[in-house]
Amino acid sequence: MATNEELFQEWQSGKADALTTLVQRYHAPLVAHFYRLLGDAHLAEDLAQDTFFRLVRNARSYRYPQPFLPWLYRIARNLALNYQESAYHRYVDLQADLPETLMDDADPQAWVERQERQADLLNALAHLSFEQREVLSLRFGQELSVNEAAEVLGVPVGTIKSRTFSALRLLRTYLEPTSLQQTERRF
Amino acid sequence: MANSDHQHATPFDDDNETEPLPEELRQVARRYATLQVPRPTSEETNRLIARLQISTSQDLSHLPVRPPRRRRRVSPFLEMLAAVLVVGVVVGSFLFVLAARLHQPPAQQPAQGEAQNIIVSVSANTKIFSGKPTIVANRASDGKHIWSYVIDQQFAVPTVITVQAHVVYARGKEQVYALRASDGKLLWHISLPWPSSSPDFGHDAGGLVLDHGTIFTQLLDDVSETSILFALRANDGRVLWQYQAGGEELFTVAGGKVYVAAYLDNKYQLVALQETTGHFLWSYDGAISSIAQQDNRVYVVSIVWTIPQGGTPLDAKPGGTLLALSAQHGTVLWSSKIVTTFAARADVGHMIIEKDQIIFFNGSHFCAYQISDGHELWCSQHDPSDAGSIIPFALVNNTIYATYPPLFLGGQGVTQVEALDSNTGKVLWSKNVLDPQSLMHGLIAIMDDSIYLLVSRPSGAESIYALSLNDGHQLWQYDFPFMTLATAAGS
Repeated sequence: MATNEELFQEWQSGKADALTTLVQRYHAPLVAHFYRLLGDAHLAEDLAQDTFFRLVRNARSYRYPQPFLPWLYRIARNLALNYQESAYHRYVDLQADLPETLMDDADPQAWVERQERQADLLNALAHLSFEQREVLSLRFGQELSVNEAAEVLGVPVGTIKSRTFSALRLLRTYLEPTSLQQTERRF
Repeated sequence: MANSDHQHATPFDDDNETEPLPEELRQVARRYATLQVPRPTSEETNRLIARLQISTSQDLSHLPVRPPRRRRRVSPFLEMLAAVLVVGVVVGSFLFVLAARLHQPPAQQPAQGEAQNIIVSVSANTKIFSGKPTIVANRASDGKHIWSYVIDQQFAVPTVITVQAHVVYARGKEQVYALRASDGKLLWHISLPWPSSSPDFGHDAGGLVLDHGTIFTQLLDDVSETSILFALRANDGRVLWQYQAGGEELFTVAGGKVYVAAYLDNKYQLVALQETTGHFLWSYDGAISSIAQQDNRVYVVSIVWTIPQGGTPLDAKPGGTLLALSAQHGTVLWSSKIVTTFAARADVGHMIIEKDQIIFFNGSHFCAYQISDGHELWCSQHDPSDAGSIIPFALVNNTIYATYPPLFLGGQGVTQVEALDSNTGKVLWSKNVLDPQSLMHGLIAIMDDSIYLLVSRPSGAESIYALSLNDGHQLWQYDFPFMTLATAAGS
């Protein structure tokens, strides 16, 4: 499988399919990442699209084999920060809305419980800083390794670890104890 | 619905990379991972792909097209990429400092012995420096730290800085600071007015140029594609006049005029304004990449990208023209086709005039052109592995001093400083600055028989090197405890 860097280089060389593959790889992860950062599904989709437009607009500044993923997430980070800055608030409303697709559930009781748990989690996340939400998204949403997250954020591995610890600790204080107990052990 | 976005090993149990999380935090992490997130459908992704393909095609299909803007300036995030960007800032600052110095009237030059030369740098908040952004001044003679000024504006960290007439001017987005060069005392601070809400000042548009008691600086809003050139009174920062240049970001102040690259009325132009009032004088239609002025002439490089017949936008090639315009009326006096490379754009294609020749770096080589008619006098001989790198250079006493970053030389760890005879293009001497981890660099300034160089490393740490102008040997080295966002020198 071609690496991201190889694909972007191929696209720079005129191979249109390479961009298609990259967008297919990272469209959904970016939407999810923005949602975890900002809590707004529509905004997440808009910013994910904007990220790709900025990516291709600045394509000439990319030089193989410069790591692609940090570049992509760097653009995403700046867009998210710009949004926050323009909105004049550092802590965003993470309860803005839920994607409609989340509500397709055959069991009303299960749907209600799911919604409550989602609301509880979003409410708790609203107490975290941007940097804390960001590290959680990269580590446990995007499932990047500590080293990968460090590379993406441009901070040492130790910072990723400490930031993860503090984010999880803070999140724990705002989560309903019952909601934690109900968490199924998936890993 | 899947909650993990990439196909990786689980982050919870990778003991090789992660310190074991206490069980209560692992539980929280698992809970976090259950957050349900929106997921675009394949149709939505395909629509995005189609729009991207159309957009990239349109970007270059309207001929003539402009070369891309200088790269966006951003906060520290990935050191390697940031280091590359830092060079752009450093070079931009340097070029504007140099341009200003070349064209400043003698009355504005500091008197001999009145002030010491300093190097000023803006720190970035990174892993090695987590404090507030700070402007730091070092003495140019020995690198000793003199003063620091902490910036309070969290989102307006200066990315453009200059030292002129005993004052340090710094701008971060719309915030402009003036500090006394001798001790860093704040003289004034203003916020430039902007007509629309929620602007995105992502670029290092222009720089800061002092001329005849007026500070000129330019802001570019990525969102509205609007750029405004501001003229500020140097004493207190009061806005004297402003000019909307329609999304372009290049200007030069010289000879009582301000020359601005603009995109107005659906065409690229060079606009000449009265320096004191901002009144329109004349315009020349063309996409301008470099501007320089001497006597009664304005010299510009216009680069137009064209797509070969049957080619795709990615086959577009730059075609350069060097023109001499009348500074009085903007009429073309002569024009000459010149060779330019892929990256000969505003932040690379810098031009310096010396006596009867124009020195231009075309993206891969230095070339000299006869000032009377534009014919090529010589081009330097290089075989760069990375043509298109930013090669900062300065012209002092018939010598071009250029610094080649490790990437230009095809490796890492060596920055090459080269002195070329400006009359022939021959290499006078060449010196390697060995810094095992250096990735990129910037030429800060040439002052007092010294070359000041900024070297960036992937770790984010940076150093200033002072080298002898005579043979390039190292005079001193100062290691910053941070990565810089902008650097400049002067007194």
